[in-house]
Amino acid sequence: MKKLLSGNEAIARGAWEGGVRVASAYPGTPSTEIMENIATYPDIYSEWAPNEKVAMEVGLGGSFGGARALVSMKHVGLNVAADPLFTAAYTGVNGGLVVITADDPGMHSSQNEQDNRHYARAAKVPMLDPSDSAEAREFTMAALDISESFDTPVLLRTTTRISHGKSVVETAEPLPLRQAGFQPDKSKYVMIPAHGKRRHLVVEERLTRLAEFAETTALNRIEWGDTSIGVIASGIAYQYVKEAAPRVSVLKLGLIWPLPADMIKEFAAGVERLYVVEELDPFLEEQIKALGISVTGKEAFPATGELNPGLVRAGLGLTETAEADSGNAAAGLPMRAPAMCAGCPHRGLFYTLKKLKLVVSGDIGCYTLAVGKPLQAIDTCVCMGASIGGALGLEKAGVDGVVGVLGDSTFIHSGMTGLINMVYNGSRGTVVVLDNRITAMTGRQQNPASGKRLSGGEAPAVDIPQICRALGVEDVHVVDPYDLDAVEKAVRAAVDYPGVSVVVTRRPCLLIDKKARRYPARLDNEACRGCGLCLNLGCPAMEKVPGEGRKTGVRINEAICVGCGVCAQICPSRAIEVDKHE
Amino acid sequence: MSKVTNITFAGVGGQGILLASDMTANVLISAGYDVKQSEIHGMSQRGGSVVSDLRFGRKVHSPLITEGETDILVAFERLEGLRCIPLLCQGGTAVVNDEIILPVGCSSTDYPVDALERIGAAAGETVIVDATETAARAGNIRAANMVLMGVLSCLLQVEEDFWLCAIRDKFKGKVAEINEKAFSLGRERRAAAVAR
Repeated sequence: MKKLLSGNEAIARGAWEGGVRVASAYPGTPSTEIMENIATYPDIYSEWAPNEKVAMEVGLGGSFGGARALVSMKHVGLNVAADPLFTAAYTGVNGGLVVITADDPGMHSSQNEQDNRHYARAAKVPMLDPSDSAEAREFTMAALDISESFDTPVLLRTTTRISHGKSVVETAEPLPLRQAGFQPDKSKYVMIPAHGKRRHLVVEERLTRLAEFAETTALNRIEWGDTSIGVIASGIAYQYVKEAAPRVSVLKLGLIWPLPADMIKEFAAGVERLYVVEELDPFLEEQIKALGISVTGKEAFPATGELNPGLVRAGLGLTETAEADSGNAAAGLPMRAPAMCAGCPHRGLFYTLKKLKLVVSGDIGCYTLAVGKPLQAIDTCVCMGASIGGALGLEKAGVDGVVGVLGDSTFIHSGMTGLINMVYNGSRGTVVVLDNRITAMTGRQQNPASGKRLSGGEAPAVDIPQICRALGVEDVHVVDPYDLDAVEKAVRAAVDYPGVSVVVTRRPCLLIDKKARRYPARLDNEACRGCGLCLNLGCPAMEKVPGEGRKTGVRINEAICVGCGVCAQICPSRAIEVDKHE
Repeated sequence: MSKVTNITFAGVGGQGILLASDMTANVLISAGYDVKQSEIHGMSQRGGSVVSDLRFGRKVHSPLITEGETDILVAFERLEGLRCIPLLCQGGTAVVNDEIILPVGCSSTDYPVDALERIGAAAGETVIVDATETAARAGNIRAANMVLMGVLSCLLQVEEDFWLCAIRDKFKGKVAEINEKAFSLGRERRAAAVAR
């Protein structure tokens, strides 16, 4: 049956058709929808894990137990999961294990632009690189087969355009499920040095066999055309090449590690001028050059950001000049940057941190949006959990008034170990946990503190204040972030406390708690003195309009305002009125 | 059918842009075309600009539309329409919802008042639609995207039945009725524009 599917939906479909029984992930754009879709297939055990490392371990355990397994994550998630991955290459698998890494060239929703193809080479495991949704489905199934035939985990790498792009997929019925069961084999599954040394030989020998397989598999193919230009490409770059230069010869790679050296040599010999078109790093280019083949790559195509058909056409020399950046018509237009929602429970906290002139060691989540104007209340943002370690480092460097800020899901992902470190090493610092009862930024996924599982079923909710106390934090505050006085009091007390303090701001994300919406706030234009202080909150419902004389004009957009009342609390003229929260 | 046709949907997160793009894609698939679509989720959901590229034809490779190659621009908001003008091909058509949504932190005086004129000057044909008001007449302002779909359906060579099936597939009961009504009001709107 023909269906329009995103790459993520197609991977989930391929997992189901391919007989996957155990699946685990931590949400991360652009990978999140893979596990959300897998959860719609009832025969698969699927879960949100607290982080990518745990997800990888669950997948590997499932594989050891004889089930076909899939784990998925965004590119930076694989950094977290790299530890089990590198040794899983040594243990190999029992049931097929496919690991999805969703890269984000162009950084649509990421903190860096790392190229995870390097992981295949570094971990010595095969990697597949689909070029559309149909291949995303097909390659997921191929990855499971390769995993079992070669006794290795297999990486399947997507990029944002594959993950979120949609195209037509021909679906089929699922394969019968593999017989599960664990066969103890200590020399294979217990990686002590004596066993590991022998397994390393297996890994190297396996790579040789995989390189032979790369020469013959249908995943790699030469499409002969005009031989004056030959292009080697994989993934989305292949589609851009076909679009930009439909007549040139193409070596299309589906299995991008290990590479088919003989096929590359044959192709290079058959064309006059050889190009490699790839997004981000010169990964294929360096390997091709190492074969002693002359090829044009990064000198013609950018190593940063995404490619597109126009850049490919220019790089191949098929246009007179690089396509003009005809942004003139759109130049100087006001930007429409993403912002925290109207009524977002995070807003009041950041207003307070800014008011108290604290240094904010930030983290990964919706709240990172507080870096934008007008709040500009985040000073650092590096990776999941870094707010806490970073805050301690700043403190030890002698910086005063540092606060680490992170969300509930991020705290569980990798904040707790940092907090233990603060207690252990005698910090006097403060951590704020923005507990909005959901993993919001990636699109509202459940987490161990939300009380629900991926399936929607009830789960015991982790009690964050209780965890903090158990870790040795004596000064723990829990406040409603809509109550600015309470927030300020708690933050001041925490910062002054001569030991580690935690402030938990607790209120559900408005996107999951629709009942929390109230009638819009009302602005009394007579009482308003036009100071414009309310605009400093950066609330989408607060609009700046022409004012009378020197007054700043403000209008509350009633279609957007949810009546949270934070603006009413900071208005010096008490010109804003809201219905009381119970 | 050998030429690939490019449609750009542009607007503000929450306006039903991705739903409109998805539905159009499904209509085109049922009409026998190859279709590819590209959009960005994630950060852009929080009230940022949203753009969805839809390409259809006999065989489509790139899901991305190259600058200057959009045949039809469907803008759900004035400023977002103006922002996408560089994408439009020579003589391309712009369908623009006559709606203003101020970006967060943007003063109403910084909003380009002449957005419609600038779009009109760049496009071969411009259809300005009061989609929100029309949707209100159909029963719910949230069906504004269906009004725009109605206009778009007149620009594509696909029978009306495919569109109606897609709407009935997506919505049920009263909601389906409202969306269908909004869609047909959009078609009338386009017919009236041509008659003038």
